Amino acid sequence: MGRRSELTGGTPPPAVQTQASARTPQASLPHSRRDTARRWAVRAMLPTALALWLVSLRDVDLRRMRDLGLLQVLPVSFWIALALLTLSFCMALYDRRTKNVWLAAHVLGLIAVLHATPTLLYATLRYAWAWKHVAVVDAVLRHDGVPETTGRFAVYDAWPGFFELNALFLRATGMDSVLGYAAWAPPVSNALLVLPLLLLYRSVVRDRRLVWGAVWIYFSCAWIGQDYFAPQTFAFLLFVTVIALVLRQLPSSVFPPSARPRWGAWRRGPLLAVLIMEIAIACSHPLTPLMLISALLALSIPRRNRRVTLPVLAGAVAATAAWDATVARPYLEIHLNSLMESLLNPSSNVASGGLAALGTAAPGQVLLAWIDRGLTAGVVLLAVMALWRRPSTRRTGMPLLLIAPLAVLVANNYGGEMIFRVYLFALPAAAFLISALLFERDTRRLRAPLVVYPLLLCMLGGLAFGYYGKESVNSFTREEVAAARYVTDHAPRGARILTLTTDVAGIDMSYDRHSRVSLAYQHIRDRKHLVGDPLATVEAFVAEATAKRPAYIVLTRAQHALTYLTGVLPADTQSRVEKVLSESPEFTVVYHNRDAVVFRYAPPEAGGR
Amino acid sequence: MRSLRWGLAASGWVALAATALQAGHPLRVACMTVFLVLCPGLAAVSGLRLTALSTGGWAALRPDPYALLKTVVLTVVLSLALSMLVAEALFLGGAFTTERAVLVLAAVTSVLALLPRKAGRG
Repeated sequence: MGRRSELTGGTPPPAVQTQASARTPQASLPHSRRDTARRWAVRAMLPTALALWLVSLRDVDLRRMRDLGLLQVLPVSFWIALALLTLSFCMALYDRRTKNVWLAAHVLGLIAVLHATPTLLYATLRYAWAWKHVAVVDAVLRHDGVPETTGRFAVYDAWPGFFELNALFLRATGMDSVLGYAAWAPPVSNALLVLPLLLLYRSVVRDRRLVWGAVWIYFSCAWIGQDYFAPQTFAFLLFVTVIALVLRQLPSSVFPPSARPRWGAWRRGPLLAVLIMEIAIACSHPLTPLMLISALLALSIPRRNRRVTLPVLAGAVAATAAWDATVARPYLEIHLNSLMESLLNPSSNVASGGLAALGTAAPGQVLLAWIDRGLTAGVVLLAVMALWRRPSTRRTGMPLLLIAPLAVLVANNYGGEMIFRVYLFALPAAAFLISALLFERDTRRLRAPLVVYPLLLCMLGGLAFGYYGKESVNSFTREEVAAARYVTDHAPRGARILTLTTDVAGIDMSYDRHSRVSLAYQHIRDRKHLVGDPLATVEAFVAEATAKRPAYIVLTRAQHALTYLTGVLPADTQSRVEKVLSESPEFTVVYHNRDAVVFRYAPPEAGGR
Repeated sequence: MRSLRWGLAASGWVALAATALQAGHPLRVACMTVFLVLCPGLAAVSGLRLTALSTGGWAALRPDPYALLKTVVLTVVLSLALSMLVAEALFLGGAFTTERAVLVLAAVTSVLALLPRKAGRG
């Protein structure tokens, strides 16, 4: 129990003081010269790092991005700023007199450096999926709700909450489009996430070093990038808040149980607040309710937790079941077969989805894939080491939250993304365990920073590869956006829009009026046919076009970048397609700029080919 | 504490009045952003007695950083959740208009802010 008291056992503040003062006599001197110098160094390093970062963003040539995206165009001063910020945080963390506001400033500085950099550098909204979600909000505004569609947009009709919240905001403020603020979603959503993460960690430990260390480690390892303008980002914020409130009530919490409970261990007010958040989760995202149920089930394994977890679990199950049986029912009925297949073949869900490649991945991307895996494996390894080396963490509920997402892994592959989502939902617990491993007080004081600083730098290095490594695909030029805008403005209702990949910014605007085909995501037979005979394949996919419903073929820089990076198609596929279409009299170039070309196909006679 | 409760109760109606301003007017954007992101959640924190704010006001949060943190988290998260649920209910019912959505949220905020508090139950 002695170990437990350090971490969770409700140790009152005086005990912490006693532990701190039990260190070396030199460290306990209240205002030693060394400590003063260190404090001033921290105060100087943080603004210096942030200034250096801002200066480093001048004159970044984004057109030089190739295999490793932003990694190869950001100047050395950017990386020095990041290293300096990390050093400053380390020094601040090891000084027990550092105020919370300084630690918060470091974490917010890290978020700014990591997540505001693309926003500041790019001329347009980053990431094709963010553009897709912008298109859904636009459709909600035009239709007074998410329009009923089939195919890849049908899921948004079943879980429309996030889009309708944004529609409310746009209508209420009178703003035209979410494009005005969607680009800032990554830094803002990460900054917002700091609050529930603090609440989560503070519920299980009093030691500020462990709490802030865990927050820093979370943002240093969150490389999968689920922080853009998306329902997952919103639902994850709610998820972490619900889990934080539940951990606050558990017997292992550092707080005493609340007075006058009514429902299990809950008072009526907090339970109602949790229920509101659970309903919001259930109607805004398909996966997060399952992750929440899984986490609550895991927390219910110890009998002592059940008075807390069962009422919340019942609420989560009821909200999810009610939503899935009503609004989401049409979508689930259509996809029931694939859901059952996934359930009966769990091993297929573990694979990190991708298509069978017909080309060769870029060398830099192979390296990147290994670094991503290395970071993920490192996080898991350190978390497991924490469970072994820091027995006090075993009572916190964090080990259960670490393994809980694995249960959902066997249920569905989530479009090949499930393994990444499991990492996302396990990361808050993993970050805490790693923090306990690195920062718990019995670590030898002088050696610890020498180990911890390089380790934190390694984490950030791994994150930089995972987060910035594909930016030649995720960033879009104004020219690419203009080409997509031309198509969506000029294509009549019912027209078919053909692209090589889905990485076309803004092409899904008016998705309810046009049909879309991305050749790289067709059956392997069709893709092989495309490589062998591009003209015949494109002609086959536009065969139903008519004079009134023409087809448009849109080829852009980012699509070429994706085929080059991933090898999903041979890297020269786009240039070959462009060449054969240019030479064919049936296809007309209707729009062209340095980053995009648009062909129009309309058969001369009415009635189609 | 009383001024906070009455301020919250009035916030939604001020936001509703702001819809009369021109679309995109900075004052309208500011009023709506503050209301939608903060007010329903803060009213819920106060009305449902989720933190010491409901009994002791801001002064009660000052010595307890955890309570202050919890108040801020719940304010933002519950505001977004309540705004989303109201918008969703109106969209699903085919009854969505901006005025109606803000009206419902203003009413919910007022009710939560003005819920009676019994002494000694915080």
